[in-house]
Amino acid sequence: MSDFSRRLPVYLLLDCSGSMMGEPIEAVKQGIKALLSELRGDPQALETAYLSVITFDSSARQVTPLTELMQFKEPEISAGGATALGEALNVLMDCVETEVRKSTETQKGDWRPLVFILTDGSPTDTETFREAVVKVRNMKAANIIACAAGSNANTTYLKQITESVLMMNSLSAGDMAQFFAWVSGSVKTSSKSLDAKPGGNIELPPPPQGFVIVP
Amino acid sequence: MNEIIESKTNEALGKDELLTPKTENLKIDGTMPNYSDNTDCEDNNIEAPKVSLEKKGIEKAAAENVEHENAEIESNELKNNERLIAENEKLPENKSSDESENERINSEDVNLNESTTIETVPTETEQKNTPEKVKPLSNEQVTEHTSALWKYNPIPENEPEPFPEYLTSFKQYPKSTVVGARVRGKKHKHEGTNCDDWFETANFEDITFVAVSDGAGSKKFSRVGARASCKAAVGFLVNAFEELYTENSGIREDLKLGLSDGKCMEACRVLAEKVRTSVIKAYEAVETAFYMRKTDSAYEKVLGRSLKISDLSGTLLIAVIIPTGEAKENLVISCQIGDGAIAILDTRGGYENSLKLMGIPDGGDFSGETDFLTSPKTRTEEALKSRTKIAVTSADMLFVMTDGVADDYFPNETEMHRLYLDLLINGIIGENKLPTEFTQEQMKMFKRIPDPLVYPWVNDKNVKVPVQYTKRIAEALGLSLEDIFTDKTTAYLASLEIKYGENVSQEEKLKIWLDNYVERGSFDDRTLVVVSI
Repeated sequence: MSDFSRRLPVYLLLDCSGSMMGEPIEAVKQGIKALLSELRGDPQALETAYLSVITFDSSARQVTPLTELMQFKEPEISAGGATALGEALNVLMDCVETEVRKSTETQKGDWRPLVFILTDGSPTDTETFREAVVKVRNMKAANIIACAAGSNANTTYLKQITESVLMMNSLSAGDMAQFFAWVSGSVKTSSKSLDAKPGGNIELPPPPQGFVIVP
Repeated sequence: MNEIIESKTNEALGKDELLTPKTENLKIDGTMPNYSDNTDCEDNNIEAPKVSLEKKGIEKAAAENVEHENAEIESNELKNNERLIAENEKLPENKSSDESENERINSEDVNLNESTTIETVPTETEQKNTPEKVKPLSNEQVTEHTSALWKYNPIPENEPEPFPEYLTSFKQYPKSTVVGARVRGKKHKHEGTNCDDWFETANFEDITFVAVSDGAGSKKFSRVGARASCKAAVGFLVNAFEELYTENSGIREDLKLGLSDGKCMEACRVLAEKVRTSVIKAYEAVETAFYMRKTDSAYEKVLGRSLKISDLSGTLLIAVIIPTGEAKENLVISCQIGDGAIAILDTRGGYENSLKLMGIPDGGDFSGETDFLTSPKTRTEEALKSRTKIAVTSADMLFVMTDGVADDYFPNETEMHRLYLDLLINGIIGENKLPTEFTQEQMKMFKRIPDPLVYPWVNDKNVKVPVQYTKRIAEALGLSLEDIFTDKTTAYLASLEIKYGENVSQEEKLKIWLDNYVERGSFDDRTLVVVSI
């Protein structure tokens, strides 16, 4: 009689490098707030989705462990430093490994995690990145969506991580708000389609206007 | 058929009288939603019944204890917070990583306390000295919060083939009683979409047929396939068995010989083949249903493209119960495509070996990956053979259900007992077995049984529906599932706290329970057919 219910783990990998300083990082913070308030009104998301935030600058760390939506508290984040996206992927893999429950004889495992990566540049830890990408690809344990923000973001790197890459034109508060609104829409859709296609790839809502899907 | 327990009003359920309650003295207390009898979806005028949720007159010593414990822990937590805050005040400029960790968590705690939407009731497992993480909320705390957020939207009127909000069925066959119900899941109610489940039951003489289907959640017209397949499978089986028993009247005698006899084996083989053929017939019916609608623009309009056969995808679970002629013995043949569960249970004997699952668990890398009737690989003879199960059993109960119920009783191999007990403690089955006298010991136990959990009915938030959960009772009383199953007194006692209105039929009770039991993350359509044999 396990008291576990199946969770939909959602990981946000957020770029907090120096170039995000100022308006962009404030927009990210606002975005997380909006995301939370949106999801907290949705009973399906509340019963299934769990949220974690991993930030990366010159290094990477999980600032919020996988947490129940009702208990989630927006992390303190600030911008500065380089873009250790490779290390962030390693942190992600560690977190998925330790936090996401696997199916056992007596327990249904969690749903396949949903990962959103937001970056405005290219990885500065290219060696680590190269190795991490191979591992992430092999793991196939998550649905990863990467979003390149602004003109300096390099989609070629992101394409190595996942097929699903989005591009947003600017780092403006408006674009950022749209991005987080879309993330919350995606989480809602995923928590709804759980019984429809368990384990499989999930269908996300169409990206907001002005966002381009990178082929 | 099924008598409603009358129970004394709450106040009158005094200690002395409860020692020897007489069923004929008990009086009803209507706390259940008064569902309309009509299962037609157009009839949504469900009357809101009088709600009476007064606390029982009986003193609940156990409940008080729990409250007391909570209070104690709460103060412990407060001390924790104080300690943490004190530590933070003394923090030197260069914090060690551990200390800053503490600070971070402390700030989370403080924030939690400020929040209005969140309740953190600490429990015994609260870590008192090293609060590394925020104490996770219990599932109950979360569902209590979400219960107010689930909306009710009726089935859309502008789509073709709206399906009824509810289906119920009660059949008294020569050798079995079949009670079935199917309810629209919270998810579908929230979004205002159709229920995708269907079920059918039928008989030929003393043989019982059950078919259950769960239309694929991702397909908008899967309900059409679900209904077509159930109707076709059951229809075919009735005719096929009639034909078989008319042409081959020796088959009854053969079945009596037992599985070690060649003739009996041959009879089983022939019958199993009919069951497999019914799956093929079910698929053909889905195909026919598809061709009949393929050119209909109404479907195209909803989908934004033309209808495909995969739009009618669904699971199919078939169970056939054939009395062998030996007393209380039945041959059960089942075939299961996709998820859900078919289980046979002997409720009268001990716990060991009392349960048998008649389906194969899901395959695939990810649990829950399901097959559908429309997938070609599921209909090959080989696949059907491996999905067909035959059992000779003296069990007295058979369940057929969609995953909306089966997933709440995972793993099915051990949790099906809990499904049976949940039916028992909610007064859906086994009422006539209520003991008429209780010992002092049993009375003590009764007082320790937790009150039912009460959630608002999704369809009408003003209606509050009490439901008992075996899980909670087991926890409160420190009993195992086996304990409660073996000595059913606890279950009967617990069922006293659940009261339905007057003349509420068994299938109606099943429906109310299916519609209202709350499990976190469970919002699918629910179908359950209970066959008492």
